[in-house]
Amino acid sequence: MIEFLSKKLEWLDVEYWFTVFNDWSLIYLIIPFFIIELIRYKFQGRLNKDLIFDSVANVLTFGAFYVIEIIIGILFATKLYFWVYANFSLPHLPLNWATVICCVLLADFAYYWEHRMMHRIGIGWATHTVHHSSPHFNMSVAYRFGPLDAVFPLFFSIPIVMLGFDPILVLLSELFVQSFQAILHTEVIKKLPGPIEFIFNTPSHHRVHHGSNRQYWDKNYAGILIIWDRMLGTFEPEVEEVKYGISEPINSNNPFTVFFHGLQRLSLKMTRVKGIFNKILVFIKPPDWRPK
Amino acid sequence: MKSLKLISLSAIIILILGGIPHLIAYGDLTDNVINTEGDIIEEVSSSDTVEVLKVEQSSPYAPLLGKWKVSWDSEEIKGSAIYQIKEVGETIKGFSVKLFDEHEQSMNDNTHVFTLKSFKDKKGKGIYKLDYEGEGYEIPCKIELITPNQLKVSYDYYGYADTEIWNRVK
Ligand SMILES: [Zn+2]
Repeated sequence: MIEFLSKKLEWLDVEYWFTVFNDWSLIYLIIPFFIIELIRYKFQGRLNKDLIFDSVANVLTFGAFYVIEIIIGILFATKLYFWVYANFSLPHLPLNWATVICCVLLADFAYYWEHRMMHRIGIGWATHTVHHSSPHFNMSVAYRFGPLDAVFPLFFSIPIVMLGFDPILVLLSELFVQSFQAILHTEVIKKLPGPIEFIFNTPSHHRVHHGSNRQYWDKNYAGILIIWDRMLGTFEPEVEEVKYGISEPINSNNPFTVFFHGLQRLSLKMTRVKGIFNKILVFIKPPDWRPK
Repeated sequence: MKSLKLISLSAIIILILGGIPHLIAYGDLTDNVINTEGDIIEEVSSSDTVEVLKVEQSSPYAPLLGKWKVSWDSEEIKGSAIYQIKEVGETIKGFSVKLFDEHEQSMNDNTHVFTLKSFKDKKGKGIYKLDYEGEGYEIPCKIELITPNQLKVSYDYYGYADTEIWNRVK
C-alpha cells in the first residue's frame, strides 16, 4: 500500500488523466447527458421556450465567468500561487499517488467550505445566487456561474499550496472537483445504491442543494464527498419533491439580468440599510440578515 | 453546530490529509538515499552510449540534430545555454550542455531538457523541461524550424506563454 502510494508519478501522466476527466468529460459525459435530458423533457411535455432560453443563458454566463477567470488567472492568481509556494510553503511534496489523492480530497474539503461561505456571506451569495437562480435542473445549470465565482476559490486553495502541494496540481484538483460536481446536475438519475449515496455526493443530494423548499436551504454543500456534510451538520436527504430555484425568483432569462442580479440585489440592500457599519455587515452577514 | 466543534473537526481533517503525503514523502526520502546513487550511474552510462551512436544524415530528424544556443533576458532569468539535440536510442532528446550567466561566465552541464514527440514538414511537438521557482515542469511545446539555423520553440502553460529562438552553433 505504502509502496503504491509513494510510487513516483510523471507530471505528464497526471496532467493527462486530469485532462481526460476535467476537459474531455464535456464531450463524453455532459453533452450526451444533456441531449438525453432534452429528449426526456420532450417526452414529458416540459420542453418549452423558457427551458431553452434558460439553457442558453446558462452557457452565456459560463462564457463571461470563463473570461473573468482567465483574466484573474493571468493577472495574478497563478503568480500568487507560485509566490506562496516558493516563500510560504511546507517542504514541497513529491508527485506520487498519496500527494495526488490527498490534494484532490483537500480540494474537495476546501470546496465544501468555500461553497458554504458563498451561501452564508452576503457578497458570496451575491455571486453564487446566479447558479441557484434557475428554476430548472439539468447539465446546463452546472455551467451557470456568477461574476465573482472565480474569486472565492482563491482564498481556499492558497492554504493547500502552503501545505506543500504544487500549485498546478491544486488547480487541476479544483477543476476535478468542479467537473465531478457538474455531472450531478440532473433529474435523470434518481437514487444510487446505498453505500454510494452514503459516501459520495450524488444527483439526489445535489437536487436538495438546489431546492427552494425551506428544509433544503443551505444543505449539501459537498463537491465529491457528501461525508463532509454529514460530519459538519449540513446534510439533508431528498424526501419531498424538490422545487428548484431561489426564494425570490428572478423570472428572467436575460443573460445580463441572470449574471448580475445578485450584485444588483446586494447593492440595493446596501443603499437601503442605514449606517456605514450596517452597510459593511450586509457584505459579510448571511444573505437573509436584516439590521435590528 | 458550535463553531468550535466545526473548527476543530476541520483542523483534524486538514491535518490528516496534509500530513499523510508528508509522512510518505519523508519515509520515501530515508529509504532512497542509496537509490539516488544508482540513478546517477544510470544517467551517466546512458549519455555515454549517446556519443557512440552514429547519427544518420538520412534521418528525418537530422535538421534538428546538433548544438543550439538559447538566450534569456527577462526578470526571472538572464543568461544563455547551449543545448545539444541528439538521437538517444529511438528518441530525439535535447540536453543542456553549457550554461552562461549574464556576464558570459560558463559552466558545463548535462541536463535532459527536451524530448521530441513529433516532427514533420519543419514543424513538430515536444516536451520542454523547465524550472520555475525551483520546481521542474514538463511542458508541452511546439517547435518550428524557421531557417536551417533557427528553431522556434513556443509554449503556453497555464498562462505562462513564451517563445524562444534557438540559434544553431557550429
Ligand atoms: Zn450552492
